[in-house]
Amino acid sequence: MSIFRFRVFQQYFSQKFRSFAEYPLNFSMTLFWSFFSLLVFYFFWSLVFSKGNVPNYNLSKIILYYLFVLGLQYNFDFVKDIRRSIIDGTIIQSIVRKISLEEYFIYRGLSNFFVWRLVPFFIVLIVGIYFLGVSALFGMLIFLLGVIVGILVYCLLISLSFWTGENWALSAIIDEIIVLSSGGILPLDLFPVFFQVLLIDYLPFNLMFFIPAKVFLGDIAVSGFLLIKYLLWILALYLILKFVVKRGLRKYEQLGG
Amino acid sequence: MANNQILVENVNKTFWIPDKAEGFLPKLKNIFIRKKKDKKAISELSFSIKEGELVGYIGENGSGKSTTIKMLVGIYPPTSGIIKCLDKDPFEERLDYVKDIGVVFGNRSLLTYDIAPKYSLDLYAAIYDIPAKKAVEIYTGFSKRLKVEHLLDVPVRKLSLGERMKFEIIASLMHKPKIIFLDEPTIGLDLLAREEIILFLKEVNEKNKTTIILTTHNMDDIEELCDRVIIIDDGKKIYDGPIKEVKKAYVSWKRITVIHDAELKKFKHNFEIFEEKKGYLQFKCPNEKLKATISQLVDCFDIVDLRIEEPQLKEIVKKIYVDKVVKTK
Repeated sequence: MSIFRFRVFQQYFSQKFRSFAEYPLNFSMTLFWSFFSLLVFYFFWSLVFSKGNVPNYNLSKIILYYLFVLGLQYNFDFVKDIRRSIIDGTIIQSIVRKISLEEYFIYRGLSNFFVWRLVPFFIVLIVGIYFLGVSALFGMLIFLLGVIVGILVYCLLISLSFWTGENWALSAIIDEIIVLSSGGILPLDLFPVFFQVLLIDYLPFNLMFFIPAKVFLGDIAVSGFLLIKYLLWILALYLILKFVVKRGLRKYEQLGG
Repeated sequence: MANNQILVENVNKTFWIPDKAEGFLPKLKNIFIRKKKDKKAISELSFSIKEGELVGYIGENGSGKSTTIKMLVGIYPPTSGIIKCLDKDPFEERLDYVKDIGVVFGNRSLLTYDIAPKYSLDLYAAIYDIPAKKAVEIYTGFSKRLKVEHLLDVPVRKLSLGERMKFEIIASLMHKPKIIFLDEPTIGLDLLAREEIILFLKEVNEKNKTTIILTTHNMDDIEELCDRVIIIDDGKKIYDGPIKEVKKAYVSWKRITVIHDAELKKFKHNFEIFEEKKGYLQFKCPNEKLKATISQLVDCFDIVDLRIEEPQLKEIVKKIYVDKVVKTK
């Protein structure tokens, strides 16, 4: 069976979009919240810059960084939904269909991203091109590769539930670590050197937000090396996910009817 | 054996469940290191099912019937023993195997709640690689047959339980499975919806030779749909055979109903009475006393109507559960 079946993805996307269209207020509230958070960061960083300088950034640059990161943040509700389905057993509806679980997780994640983040994606792109020029376009394209990395990372987080059952506290902690390590709270080049090396050179999370944001800002150029790094991490995470799901299913015990 | 679609041999399934600790320190330790104990759900289970059979798989709550079904559809591997369905290991060869089976879990919906069922059916068509046009033809045909065609565009949340279940069954049949597993498909349904579903499943079985495995607590479903019944208790098979034979094996009495105008003489008996009211008497009569009792009834009552009936399957199964009589073939 092929790894990616476009027609199946299209159907998951269409389902997600139709469900989402039933509750349009959720979308406007989420959009409002993203940009409200940006306002809070604006006040905070204005205060920081009024007291002194920050290496690598000026105020407008840091605000554009947060526009990118907060506007495109995907705190996936699909993670919560699928985790819940593993715990309460409704995931078995997917186990008995002709679809592998990793394929199912990925379609759910991608359709969730495109439904929730397509409008903010174009807002960030237009604002980015207006202020930063063509680097914004490259940043957005690299960000799409980062989304695949992010979805695979979150799928691994979901798969933990096969072992831990009800683990919302653990999941919440790991989720926060992922957001922090991806540059979602603070740019990684403002971290102490040890953490910068660890997070940028050895872990994949930076590929989700930090690297695309730096390309967006024009601080990093898109290179063959960067693209290969993305592709290798995507391949590695996919293979790990396949292995983990296989082991998880063997471990999965959901008693009762 | 040739022609077997499902073969289960000496299957055992053991789950790990958390063991409660007693006392403060053991409880504290249990937070970090979970104590676990075994729970044997299935014990030395063996049976085989041939193509086109209609089999009822029944047991009390917690008897292991859902666990068996979950092993047969590839959700759990057995702890030991062999399961072969359509010549495949359901767990190890899951993706190759599930394309030929249909599964309906009565208490777990596969339809997306907020949108119309036709979109969920389109998704399942894509998953099973059914061309879009053909899929519409298939589900429209099934919907017409089950009288829910007009509901294809109505959001699932606005459908009744029976209507939802009809769409669940349609979804599980779209790819023409060779075996259908139905786990409590009529749970909570009204009489009409239940009858329509049972009739539809019978038709599918007759037309396509589809094997049907039905687990339910509703013995009427089993009696109306199945030819064979497997009864499981505490993870062990306690009966496997035709429904007719289970009746023969366990029934030593008949239900007699008398509707009468007047009682001419006092009807003396020591039978168990099911119901008694003015002009109506229903009681349980042992087979060996049947002839004498009928004569006595004719003698005692001005009879308007007299019915002599076999007990229903549910009464027999209740007796089996109570007696825990082992009558394994």
